[in-house]
Amino acid sequence: MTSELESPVRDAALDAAWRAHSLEEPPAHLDAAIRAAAHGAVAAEPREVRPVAVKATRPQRWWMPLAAAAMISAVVIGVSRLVPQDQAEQAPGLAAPPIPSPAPAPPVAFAPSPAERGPTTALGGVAPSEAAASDSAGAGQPSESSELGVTFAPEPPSLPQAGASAAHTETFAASPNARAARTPDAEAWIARIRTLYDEGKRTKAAKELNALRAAVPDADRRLPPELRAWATTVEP
Amino acid sequence: MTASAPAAEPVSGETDEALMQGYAAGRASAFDALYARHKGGVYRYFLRHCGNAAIADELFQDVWMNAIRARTRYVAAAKFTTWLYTLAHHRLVDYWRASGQAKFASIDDAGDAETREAVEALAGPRRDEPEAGLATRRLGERLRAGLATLPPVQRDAILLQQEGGLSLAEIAELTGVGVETVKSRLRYAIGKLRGELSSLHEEL
Repeated sequence: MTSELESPVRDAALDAAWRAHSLEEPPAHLDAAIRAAAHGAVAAEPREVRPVAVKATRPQRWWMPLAAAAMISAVVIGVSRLVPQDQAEQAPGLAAPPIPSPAPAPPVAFAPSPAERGPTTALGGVAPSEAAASDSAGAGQPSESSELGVTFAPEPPSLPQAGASAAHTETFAASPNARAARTPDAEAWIARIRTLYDEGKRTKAAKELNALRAAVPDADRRLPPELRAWATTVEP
Repeated sequence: MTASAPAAEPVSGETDEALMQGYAAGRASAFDALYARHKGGVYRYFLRHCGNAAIADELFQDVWMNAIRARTRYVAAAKFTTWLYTLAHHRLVDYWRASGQAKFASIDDAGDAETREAVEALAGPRRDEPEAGLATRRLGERLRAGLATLPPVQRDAILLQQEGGLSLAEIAELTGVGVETVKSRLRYAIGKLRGELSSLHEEL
């Protein structure tokens, strides 16, 4: 490339003559040899950039998930150690998973320990009067295990299954508020009293009746006719 | 400007510098394009200087091998033709030194027997070409003869200008002299060659 400043040192006629007679070219065998050498030099040289890049990225691919997992594990262990153990024990979800209740019901009475347990009935349960006392003490704990290690789910009383109901210590005594809320259960309670009465367990039936009277103001009126005569003989 | 391939004119959309960088990066086809552009100019640069095809072949091959080896050292800031003809110029100087002709001295005596022999030995076209007529053939012979009688420094300057397409500044940088010196050499060379052409026209 030449500029305008170079025009004094150029000659158009000479340039044209030069171009017309600049026809010599290197021999073909020289062309082939040089091209082969050029291609060979490129093909023979080691690829430096790409393999290095691959080597640099390979380690990152495998240790990054591992490092992430280790970090998460460390955080979880650290947080679990920071939580006080008493809180962990009080947490119901960690100590003992609650047994799902079939229906939202107020707390039921739990069987007291043998020392606390008063005179049991012939069925092995606690008399409704004592049960009511123990109920008032543990009314705020909806579902806990007794000292015997038995957990009772608040199930609706099904007194037609008299044998089964006699096997456990659950009673129907409850706090006044609970009693009011449990008015429909009076029928089952009455059915249980009737079962006790039919089985000849009059004392037990009388205690249950008194407990029913305490829970349900119009208990006597709810009694079936065949029990009303007997109920009149039971002193509150 | 070169006759066959202008040095700085991009062919297939890529400059010489981009092609050289592509070759340095491993693209062999880039070298093929570069070689096709500049092989004629470099070859004639040696052939006109030496007047011997065998020596020109050897020097030509050496230069391209050097370019291949030095591909990773090429810096795009330098114009490719300047870089390539610098390699060629240095190789020519080395050849002259090694062969005992370490003289970029003037060959002033055109009637000198050695010079006449060199002029006669100047290679003509390397390939078969149709007869272009007596005038054209004689013009070429006269041009080569006039070039052969030039002092090497003047011949070098005119060859770098015509075959390499280098500017005054580039020739000055390449040869290590000032621009004015290059200008002077070119004026002298052009005047001498113009005289050869004029005398031919008078003869015809």
